[in-house]
Amino acid sequence: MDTESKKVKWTESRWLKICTAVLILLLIAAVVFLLLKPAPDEAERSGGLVLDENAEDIQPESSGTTAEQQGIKIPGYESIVFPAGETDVQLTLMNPAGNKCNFVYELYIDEDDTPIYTSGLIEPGKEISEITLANGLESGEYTLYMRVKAFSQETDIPLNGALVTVPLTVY
Amino acid sequence: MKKMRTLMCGLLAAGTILGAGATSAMAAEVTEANPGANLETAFTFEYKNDPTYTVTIPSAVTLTEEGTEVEIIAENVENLDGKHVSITFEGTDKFREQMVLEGKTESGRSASLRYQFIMEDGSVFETTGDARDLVGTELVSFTEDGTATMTVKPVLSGSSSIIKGVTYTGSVTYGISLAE
Repeated sequence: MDTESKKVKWTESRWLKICTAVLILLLIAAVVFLLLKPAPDEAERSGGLVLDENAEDIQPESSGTTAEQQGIKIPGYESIVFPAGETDVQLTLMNPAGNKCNFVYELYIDEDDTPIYTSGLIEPGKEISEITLANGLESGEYTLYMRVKAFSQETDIPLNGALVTVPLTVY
Repeated sequence: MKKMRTLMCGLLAAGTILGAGATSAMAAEVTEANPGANLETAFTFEYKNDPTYTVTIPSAVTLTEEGTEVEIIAENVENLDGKHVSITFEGTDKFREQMVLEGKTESGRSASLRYQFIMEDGSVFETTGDARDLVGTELVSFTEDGTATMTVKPVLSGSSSIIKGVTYTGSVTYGISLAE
């Protein structure tokens, strides 16, 4: 009986090994087939339709609001105070976050044509808090004109700007 | 082992309580016995030249035949002491501050056309000829947060310099101030 059962077990084990080997060979064959098979071209993938290379983005209607027609936020001031005789003064010049343009500030005192200060380009979300004037001012009351020039970030084209008028006290 | 751990916890707790008590005892205290103790609280305040309100102006002037609605928005408008936020016309990027758009044809020929602001009440603001006298004219005003709408419309008749197929551009400077 032992010999009989051993014989049966040896037979089963042999079949198992053969089946396993066959399966492994089939798997290897499938992998090789997939790797060597050429990829279908675009037409075949899309069922016979391809993208027209002449197609372009739809141009926005000129009557609609384009990206450049978004508003520009301009900061306004109630009043400004500078110390007399000082050229280094505190003044916050900002380009509010959300603007789609860079700012340049030019500051003028009363009717002077020459700016007492000119900033560099200020990006949206950035600010200057300390500035150096071209010259110190004597004590008194003045009008400060802050010319805000806006430029497109993509093209540097000038956009609409602002002239912010603020009473200035120098003490 | 367990007893050692319990003993260590007890010693640590006792040490913490004793330390807190000592800190309290060392704080400055004005008492009858110590009337000259120095009590100080330092206050600081930095007065900064910061913006107090915001005005949103139209970004660029790009028009259609029917005109384009643009908005001017005032925010954080408060504590004005009887004043109002005044938005004025302060000129353009064109000769003599004229409200004119300019462009060029593909062959380089210059073209121009005028435009006008049609305000909410139907009034029309435009420049003809030398516009420097109109600089400073108030367009809209705000006593509180709000939005004003105006229509910017091209004037397409009466000029031989208007050419079709040209993109016309121009920019405006808006004045912003607190006025009585």
